[in-house]
Amino acid sequence: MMLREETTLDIDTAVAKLDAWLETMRSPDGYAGPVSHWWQQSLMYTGAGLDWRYEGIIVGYLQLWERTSDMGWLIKARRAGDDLLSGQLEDCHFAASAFELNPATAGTPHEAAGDVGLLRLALALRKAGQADWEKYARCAERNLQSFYIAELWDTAVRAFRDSPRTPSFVPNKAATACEALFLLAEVTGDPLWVERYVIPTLDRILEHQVCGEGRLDGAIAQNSFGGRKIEKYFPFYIARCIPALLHGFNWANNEEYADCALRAMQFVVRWSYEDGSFPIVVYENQRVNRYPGWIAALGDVLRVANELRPFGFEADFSSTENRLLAGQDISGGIQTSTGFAAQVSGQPQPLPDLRDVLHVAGWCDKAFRYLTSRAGPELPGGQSSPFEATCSFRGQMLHVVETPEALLVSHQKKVYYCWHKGEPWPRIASPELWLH
Amino acid sequence: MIGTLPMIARAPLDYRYAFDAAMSVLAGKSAPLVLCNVRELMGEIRQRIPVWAESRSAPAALWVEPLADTWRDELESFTNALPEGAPLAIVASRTLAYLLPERHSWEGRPLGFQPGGIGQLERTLGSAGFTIEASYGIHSVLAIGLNILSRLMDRGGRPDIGDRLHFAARLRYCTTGPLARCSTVSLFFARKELNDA
Repeated sequence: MMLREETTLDIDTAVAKLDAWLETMRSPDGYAGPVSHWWQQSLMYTGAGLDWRYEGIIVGYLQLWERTSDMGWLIKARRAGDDLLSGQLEDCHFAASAFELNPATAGTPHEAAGDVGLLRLALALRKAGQADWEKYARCAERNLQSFYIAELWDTAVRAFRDSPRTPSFVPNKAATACEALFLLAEVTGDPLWVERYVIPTLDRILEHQVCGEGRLDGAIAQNSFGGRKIEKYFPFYIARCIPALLHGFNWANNEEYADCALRAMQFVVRWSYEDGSFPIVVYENQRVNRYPGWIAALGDVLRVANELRPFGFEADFSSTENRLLAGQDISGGIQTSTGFAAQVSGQPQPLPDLRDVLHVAGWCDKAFRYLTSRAGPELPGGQSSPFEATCSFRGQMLHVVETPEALLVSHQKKVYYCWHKGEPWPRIASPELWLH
Repeated sequence: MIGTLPMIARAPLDYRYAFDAAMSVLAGKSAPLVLCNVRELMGEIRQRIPVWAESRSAPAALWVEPLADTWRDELESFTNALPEGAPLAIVASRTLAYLLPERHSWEGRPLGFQPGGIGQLERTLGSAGFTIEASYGIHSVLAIGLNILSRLMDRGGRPDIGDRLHFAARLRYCTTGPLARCSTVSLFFARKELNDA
């Protein structure tokens, strides 16, 4: 009993600090900051990103409102929804919605993830009897209709493409679109969104799952081009396929979806490490790249594990939760990963990589969403304090300082990077930091 | 507004990388002067620099793809427009950019495709009152080689090694020194000299 109370207190404190840090990441157009990611970095564009960070931020604040009855959280959820409303372009896309590929618009799964946030906000406001819920629902519907249905829906294949011009399918991204369409069906009361688009897409996800007796059983291939599957298995992205499959099971009572979801999570657990981390990718030949090992993003894995428990899923995720909480710094931000410097060599370095210690809004939102689902009913006050760390980047030792106002990377007297929070570009960025 | 170009309309990474890097000297200043000779790259620039200087004077400038037929006149216009101490970022394709399928349909005769063209630009910048403070090669030949190896490993059934080679290539995407000439795109940072007189 004592352990449970202490854990709850830890989570309340973590949420309060994370909220304080998120406040420091506000720019005039929304939540901003550099991005580190497996595929690419966005260290140069540092302005608002209307991408999947809005999924976790909006849902997180809604959960806090629900769990504490404090209207202040609803105001923050609305403010995030308003960012998306203001940033919706004439073509119905969201500005700078491509996360690590910013600046660009029409990012996937990012726009659908933003739609999930908007639709959850609309539903919560409607339930509370607040009159202006419809504007958030309309914003999401415009995006889903104009982009996902009009541009990405492949009539022949009956699934969402990843790009309008290329026959391509990415299960986790399509799953996010399905989540948005489930919510749209709930908002509009029209089951057509699910029957016409979601169910065929979920069937396509099933086709990407590995079925067999080996260690790969349950894995879901990362993507496919036409009929050619790319047999790379990313535990984090596999976890993100699961909520849509569970929705599908509840909707259609098709046990294949629940079975697919359970086996997918069993795959994730099978490949976990003792420290609560997961390989970033498992290949078909069963070799792995362990690095970078996500920290803040683990919030999504923990959330999905909890969603699966009513379906009979059992596993101990305490080491993963400990890893997540231990990744929170005094700033309130949660570190991105460990071992980024080993991405190429596979050999961990004594110092963390700069990309590891960055606090990224589009990763921290995942931690925020999970932690807020367990926080309350009262939260302590939180604040974001200056954070310092010694790290390395491309063989160079660096000193990082993040304050509520700025992010500074230096070594001795040379400043390599200086970003004043709220600005769309760093004021100083040496060539080493141009890395994409 | 920043970030308005759809993903499918994006330019090759070579140019996006160069434009992001150019922001390290252009950001924080009021509307810079922009001269871009490639229609296909305008969207990438607009989504980074939504407001361009309308007058013939500006605190900074971006010059994209100097052309063999017009570059001298354009350089003179920068000389006249920029105040002393103002930065000028220049993005110019080199012959290796022929490898980029996207640019095969682009119009114009890039100066960087002419033998000695970039060298001529470097020398003339000095006589036009600019000091070249830094030059970089974007998408280096080393990165190209590593990416070829990456694809070979991928096709050979070792995507695990292929991915590592791909990331190794990314770390070597931008280079300086003599090897910078062996790249698809050059990026120069020049500055209008102070007139001590």
